[in-house]
Amino acid sequence: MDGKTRKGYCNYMGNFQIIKHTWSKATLAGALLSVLISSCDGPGGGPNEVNFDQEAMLSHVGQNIILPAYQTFSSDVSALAASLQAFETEPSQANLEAMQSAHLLAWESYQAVSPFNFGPADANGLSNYNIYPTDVQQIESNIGATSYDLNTAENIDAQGFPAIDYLLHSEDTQEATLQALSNEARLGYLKDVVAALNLATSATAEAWSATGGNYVEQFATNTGTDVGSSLGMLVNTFNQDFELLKNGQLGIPLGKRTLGEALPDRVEAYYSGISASLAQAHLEAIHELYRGIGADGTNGPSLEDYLEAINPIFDGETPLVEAIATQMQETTTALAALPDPLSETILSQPSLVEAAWDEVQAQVILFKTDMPSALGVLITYQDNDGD
Amino acid sequence: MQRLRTWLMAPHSTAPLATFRVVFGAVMLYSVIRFAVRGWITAQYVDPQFYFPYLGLEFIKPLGFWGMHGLFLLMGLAALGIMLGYRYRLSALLFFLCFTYVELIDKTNYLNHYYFVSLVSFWLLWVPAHATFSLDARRNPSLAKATAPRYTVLLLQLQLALVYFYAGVAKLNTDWLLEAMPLRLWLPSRTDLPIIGQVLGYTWVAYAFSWFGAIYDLTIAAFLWYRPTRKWAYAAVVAFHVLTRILFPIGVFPWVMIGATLIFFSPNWHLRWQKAWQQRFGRVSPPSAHWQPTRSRMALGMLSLLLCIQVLLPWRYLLYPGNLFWTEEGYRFSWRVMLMEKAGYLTYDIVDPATGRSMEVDPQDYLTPVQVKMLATQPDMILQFAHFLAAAYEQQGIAHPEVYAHSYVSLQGRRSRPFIDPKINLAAQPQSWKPKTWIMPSPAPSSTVANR
Repeated sequence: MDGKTRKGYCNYMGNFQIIKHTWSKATLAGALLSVLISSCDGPGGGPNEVNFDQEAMLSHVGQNIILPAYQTFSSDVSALAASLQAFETEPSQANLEAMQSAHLLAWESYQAVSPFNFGPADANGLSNYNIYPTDVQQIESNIGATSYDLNTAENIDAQGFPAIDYLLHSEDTQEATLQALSNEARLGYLKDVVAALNLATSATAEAWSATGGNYVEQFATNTGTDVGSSLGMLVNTFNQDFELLKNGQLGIPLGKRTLGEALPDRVEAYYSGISASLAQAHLEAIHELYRGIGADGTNGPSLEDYLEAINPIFDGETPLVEAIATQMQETTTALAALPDPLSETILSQPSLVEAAWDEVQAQVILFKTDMPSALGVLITYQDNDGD
Repeated sequence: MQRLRTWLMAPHSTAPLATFRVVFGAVMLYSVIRFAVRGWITAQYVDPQFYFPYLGLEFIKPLGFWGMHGLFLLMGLAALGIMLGYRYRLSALLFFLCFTYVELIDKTNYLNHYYFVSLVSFWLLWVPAHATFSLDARRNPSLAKATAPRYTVLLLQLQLALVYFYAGVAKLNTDWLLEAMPLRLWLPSRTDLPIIGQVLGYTWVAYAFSWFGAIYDLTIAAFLWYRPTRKWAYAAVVAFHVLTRILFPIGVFPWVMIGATLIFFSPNWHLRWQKAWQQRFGRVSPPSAHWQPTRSRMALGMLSLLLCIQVLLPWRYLLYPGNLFWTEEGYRFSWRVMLMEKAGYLTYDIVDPATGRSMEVDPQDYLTPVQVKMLATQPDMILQFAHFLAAAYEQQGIAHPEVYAHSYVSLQGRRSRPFIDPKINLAAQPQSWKPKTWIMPSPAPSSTVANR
């Protein structure tokens, strides 16, 4: 911090000393305080007041980031459902293509709500609609069966976006897809899967909306830093979600868990081949959340501003906010360099994917250690005592 | 020496012990119920697939769902027994054994206040806290004693003084005093609190809290002992612990301390409320006998030895090189309370030496969130888990797998740094109390009384 602020707190400590002298332990306190005063020349720095309104941040994040993200996502999923209806009425190639692009668009908007896996999203099991790789065998056996229940555990990876990906994009030609979907059972399964997704999505969006469950209000007023507070949930799920980017979207297909043996079919969107662009959209959503950039582009109080306000500085260290900003740039660049389809890039240019993974890893460290530490957030998903 | 012995053996009222027993038993009963109701028995002692035992105590293992619930039930009943003074000796013994067993299962759950509870329940085995105001004394009047040797009360007072004093000594480090760390990070995050929240954002408040905290811990026992200041000191105890309860998630510890420090009050104070209570229930039978330990010399010798060990234990960190807060070698069992903001991120690399190929392992896939959090910042746990992984992958068919830790730790709001040397194969490092040479150098060479 600059000399001005530091002088400010030294002056304050001077007054503090006078007050203290009236206390019964005057001598000891005086002796200790003289050490403290001398510390004004020490390594410590930082603002003499942390002026940050947590409720304002939560309100901005809820109103201008989360709520619009759910609105967009929900309407994109509704559009997918509508395109499916149109296709059912008239199974033309044009309608198929409309449905395919509606699916990809909704999947991309899903990336923007992926960090908010708490509260309504948690209650509606929203993250269950993006489990990959999808279980092709299970899907085919469901289609062949007289009945099935999508709510059972074995069907958890036989639905959602990756299952739709398989149903809409796995054939070599559009003719073959049209042919496959002319099977009534197959189309029926697609309808069920889309309906389940639509239901969970609209329920989540409804729960957040001010005119519905008004979770947005609850989110803004649930201040504090413990496990159940909005900030606690936000930072925790933010980090869990970022690790999903690291492990699910990049690491596992790259072979990070299998002694370097690549598993290209484990990418998020194996059949449509848009995995890299989904990961890029995901990263951007996380960055905008961190920086407090609303859906309409307005910049409001954010985690970044909170860090800036707390801003502990030790000698020779790059301030955390700067370090994160630099790393975010590096990560974005490395991820943007990945061409789709990612499953092929992993085999043809593994070093590119490896480099992106390294950058994401470097960013995980900043988000998971430095940031919660500075914010005083308990980074745990489990309630327990401290001492 | 003889004079000291005489002084220690001089008769002293047993009333303070009775209050202590009732309060301690009640808070422990509440604590056991709270633990069970919150589902922590299952979360901490049934769900985990892996536990972090203490070195040399690996035979202490969780007992399964019914075993753990049975153990907690027994612990709760024992706490009730202590509170009521019903079959007191047996209750105290059972409580001590159950509680200590549970705490030794997993390092993850180490808390200074659990250590304190174990110690106190051990002391209770040696003092006649059931001599008055107890069901035992009512059922069997021969157990009722008005007095006991002074050391019985002194023991508990010394234990409390030790906790406070060492908690204060631990605060005499540069981070706490000169940087107001970690309070400078923790307090501003609570500006949402009503009334007091408004001032928590100011840096000077963090300094004031740090310094008052240190002075409080170092001096409170003396002020509690000294009669003229006792009342004010107790008011400070209440205020201090209530404040910490509001600001930090520290469970029942504040209530334990607020209750336990009543032991410093005069016998008359204790007698007064106990009599008032007994009169209410229509029975006043003031005992007059004196309680004498069967082997007083041995008891005194052993109790002072245990106190001496406690006095020395917090200094064992001096035997290790490096910054204590960074390495945590000799950190536990030393009353280092709320001293650090430390967070880490840890993954392991498993390398197959036959092929040289490696893979990443995320501890989150094996451990509970709290275990993951504790693991990331504590080297002895990192080593334990590395050994577990080596064994697990050996079983999966990799011969002599090498295990490397990739870890970053942020300490006291400093930027994160590499924590464990990523070039060291942890599978080949033995578990021991020797200094761990594979911990990376500390980012902050703090130099003070309590922390080099």
